[in-house]
Amino acid sequence: MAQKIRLVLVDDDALIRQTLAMLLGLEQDLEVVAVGTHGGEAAALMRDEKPDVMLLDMRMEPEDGISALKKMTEEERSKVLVLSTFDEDRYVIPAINLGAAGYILKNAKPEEIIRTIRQVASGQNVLGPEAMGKIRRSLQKQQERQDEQDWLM
Amino acid sequence: MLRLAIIDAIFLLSFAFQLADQPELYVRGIIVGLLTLAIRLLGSHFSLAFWFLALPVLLIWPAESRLMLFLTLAAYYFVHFLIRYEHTRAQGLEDRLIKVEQMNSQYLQRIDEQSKLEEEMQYASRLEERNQLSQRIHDLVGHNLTGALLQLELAERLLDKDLAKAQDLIHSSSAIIRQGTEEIRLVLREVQPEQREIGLSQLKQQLDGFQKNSTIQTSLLTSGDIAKITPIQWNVLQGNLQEALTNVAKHSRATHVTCRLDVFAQRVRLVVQDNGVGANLLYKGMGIRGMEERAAKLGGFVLTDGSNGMRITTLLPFGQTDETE
Repeated sequence: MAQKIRLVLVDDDALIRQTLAMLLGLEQDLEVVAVGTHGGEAAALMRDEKPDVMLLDMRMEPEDGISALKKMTEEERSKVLVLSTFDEDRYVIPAINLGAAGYILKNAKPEEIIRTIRQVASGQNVLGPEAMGKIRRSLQKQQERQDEQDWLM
Repeated sequence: MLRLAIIDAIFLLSFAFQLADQPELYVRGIIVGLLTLAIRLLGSHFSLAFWFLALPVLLIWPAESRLMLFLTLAAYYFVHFLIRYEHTRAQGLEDRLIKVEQMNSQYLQRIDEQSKLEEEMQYASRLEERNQLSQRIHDLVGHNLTGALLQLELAERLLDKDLAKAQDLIHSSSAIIRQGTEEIRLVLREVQPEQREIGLSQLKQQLDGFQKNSTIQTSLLTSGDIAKITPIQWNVLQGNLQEALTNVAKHSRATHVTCRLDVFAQRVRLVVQDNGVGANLLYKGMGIRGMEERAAKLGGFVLTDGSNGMRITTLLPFGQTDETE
């Protein structure tokens, strides 16, 4: 049997943490090796457990996902799949900017989450449709600003 | 300039006509008059030259004519001075008017800025409220609903593997969803301001708006349990207040309006009292009639008393609304 994909799950909500861990554990090729309860633990878990994929929540107390990403190396960040409740500007764009491998919403179908985990484990970058839309809008805004600037100059 | 020249000419020619009994002086007078007119037409700075022209004439002419010329010149310069003075005064008034207008517009601008600032502050506080609201919904939906959703997904996958566990999860998630709806209900209750606050703040707004537009001072006094007033009663009270204020603005010549809202056990009373000229209400205008009709729909009535300023009282009973009437 092929090597299982080693997962670390970081989320400050115990309910989500446990349920998601069980849900992912049902898959033959996935194995949750550790869980973290907030962003402050993420970097250490990444270093110690060396998972194939880290599922990282964004909105956490006391340390959020962005601050956790900042503490990681570039290579480590490429293993982070952001799993967030909302596609907020203040998380999506910085997370992608910092080099996270993917961004997917928690209320996506489990099959989709699992598929995304496999893709990230095989080295791909994956963005859910929501994150994609966010980025597109952000780019549009940037373009508008640029147009405005050009017009003013 | 032309005006001054014409005055010069009239004076000088009238002087000449006084000498009509001495023909050669008459001609000289006309010549001096025309010369003066010409000089004046060239510009007021030459008016001194007039004296140099007039002086030789003064010396040559007989004594009484000299006196006449002198008096005429004196009268001319007196009038000239008067006109000058009036002109300067008008100029000064005009300057002051302009200055007052400038101050006025500055003042208006400042008022404008002030109200803009207030609006911005209100906007900011509304934003802050919305922010807090969105934060709470975030937490609610984020934690509870997402968690319950995941539990249900897990339960679905466990149905054929571990039925007991699946049942557990379904049970747990329905509990979470129940709790979530309860919390949403609480949030919504907080978000919706109580009717009491809406009604009273609208009343205040009406009075403030009136004061701003009419410069008639207003005050609002309340007593009793305002929460007892129903939305439909608020409607009538607001309508009648508006009507009463319109009357005050139109007819009262008042400087102050007091609005009293009292809630008693059986009824609510709204009194709008001004300190104006009052009226003996033989003629009930559309306004008063409208107020009466509005009150009657809720089983209430309107009292008017114009003996000491104008006083319009709306009385509405509690608990016996009759909207079919």
